Amino acid sequence: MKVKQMRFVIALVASLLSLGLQAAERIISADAGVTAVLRALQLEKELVGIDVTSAQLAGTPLPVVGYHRQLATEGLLALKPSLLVGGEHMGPPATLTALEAAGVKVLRLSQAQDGAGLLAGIRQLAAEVATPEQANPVLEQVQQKLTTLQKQALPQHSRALFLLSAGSRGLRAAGVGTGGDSLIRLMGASNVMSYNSYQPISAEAIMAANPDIIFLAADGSKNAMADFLRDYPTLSALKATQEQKIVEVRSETLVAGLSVLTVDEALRLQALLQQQTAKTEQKK
Amino acid sequence: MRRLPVFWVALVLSLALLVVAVLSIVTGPMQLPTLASLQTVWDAAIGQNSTALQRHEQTVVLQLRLPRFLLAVLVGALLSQCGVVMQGLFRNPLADPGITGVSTGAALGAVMCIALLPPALAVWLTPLAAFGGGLLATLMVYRFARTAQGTSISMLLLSGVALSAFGGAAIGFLNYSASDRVLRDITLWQMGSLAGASNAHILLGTATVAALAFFFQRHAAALNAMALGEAEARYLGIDVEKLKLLLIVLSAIGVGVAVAAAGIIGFVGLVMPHAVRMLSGPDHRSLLPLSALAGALLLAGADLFARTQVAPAELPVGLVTTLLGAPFFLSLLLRQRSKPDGV
Repeated sequence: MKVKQMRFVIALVASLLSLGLQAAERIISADAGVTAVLRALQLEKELVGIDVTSAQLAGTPLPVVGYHRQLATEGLLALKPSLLVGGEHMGPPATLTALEAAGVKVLRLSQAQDGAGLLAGIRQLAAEVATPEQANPVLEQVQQKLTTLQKQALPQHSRALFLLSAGSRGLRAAGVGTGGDSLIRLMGASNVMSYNSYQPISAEAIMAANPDIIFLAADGSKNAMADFLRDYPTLSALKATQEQKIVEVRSETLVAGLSVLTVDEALRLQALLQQQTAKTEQKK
Repeated sequence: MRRLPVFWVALVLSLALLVVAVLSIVTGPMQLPTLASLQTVWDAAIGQNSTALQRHEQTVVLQLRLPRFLLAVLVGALLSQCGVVMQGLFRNPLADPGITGVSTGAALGAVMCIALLPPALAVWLTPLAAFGGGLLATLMVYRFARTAQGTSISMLLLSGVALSAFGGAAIGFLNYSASDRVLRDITLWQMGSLAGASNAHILLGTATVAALAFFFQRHAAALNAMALGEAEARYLGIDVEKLKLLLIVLSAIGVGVAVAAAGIIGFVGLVMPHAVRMLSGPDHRSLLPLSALAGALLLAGADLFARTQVAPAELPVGLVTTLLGAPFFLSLLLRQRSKPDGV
């Protein structure tokens, strides 16, 4: 009888311990979008390492594991992680295999292309690390933001151009499958460029495309918009520039492609553009 | 600069390599007990299991740190030896494996793979493409340089330069049209890394180092004769044309294997032979093995630095070799300048 009781107590303690262990994951995030979701889920304390792109977002200082496609096996193992989460391009494969062999769970989320994909990614991540009570409010919040974006969609057939500026040394425009493209579509506009990825573009090609709206992403520079208009004076003649439908994008919200950060940025830009429209109409 | 006896240089380089070997085994981002880590390697060597390390810690020592150190030694030795042979063959102190187009050829092969193939395929094919590109470029340059009178060294160098420029522009074009992700991959690959060290790499590297050391050493005396001039070497009874073809192809294979295993690692092949020549003289019989040792030492040391400095991330080792090697080489040059009776 006594032995049975002892066994029961031991089993109870063991199951409690394992519950405790489950709750305290040690997570390495190799994607800025994942890091943002983990923060929203209030699991920041379980993060033990982040990649370079996550480190660009202000927050608690954590060990930086480098570029998500060049993860170093021993460096990651030294952080004693229980879970590594990242995008579909996380690598190299040898590192991921070695981590799995060492008992670390590896979760690869596919790159979201639209709001539905984004929600699916959050659900997949939450199923791994969070309780439904933690996950549901976050999911609802994101869903709500996506609905707001749809409700306040930019006028139909707005043709938008997303530019990456490298100072006076040239411009690149976002094509299909880029973070810039996702941003444009989130706001209900369509991308004037139909090629793949970011491609170099000349001022003349921009004039020819004649977009209704221009999104300009520039790293760090304070006067990015003024510099841009000074470097490309011809673009002042564009309809978008005349109507002040040219807005600056915080590029750090796009480092991980479409993420919860992008949704917030889309809401901000949408509101900004609507203000501009109201102003222009008042003048008329 | 006074020359040092070969024996002492060999001894000092070997001891330094031993120190780096021990450091490479016992240091890393993961804190492991020093003696137990060494014990693990010893255990693996004699097939017992008495170490205090846990299973996953043993994996770190045996499957991450040890292979990287070994690959660094092999790649360093390969690049450095090929550098000696190129410089000896072309009687040109600036000749390094880059000059015959082999580095650019290899880089172009790899970059094409990274830029044009789907990522899953590119991971496996990149080393092969690098190797193939390097060999192809070398053979093309060699073909240009072959005339009725034999191989013209100046034609070889010039066509190597032209081919390198062409390859560089082709890489530039691929860079220009690549997406951000691919661009980043290309850049990192061109900076070199030993992180992919696997048993296959080490087996291939060992076989190549052994074969090249054997062939190069056999022709060390012939390389000494080449230093007098090609005609003089011919009068000494050396089949210069055969020697050139053999050594060029062997070097291309050596560099191709090194590039395939570790990407582009600059500086080792150009500078380590010079450093050794300044320390212990230009006799190829001692220059070849000592350069191999020095190249191995530089790359293993650089990788130790690359792996630990920004942990848990890593620096590209190709950058570190240059950062460590260039000041060292400049200091050697300065010392040589003050004593003009040097090399």
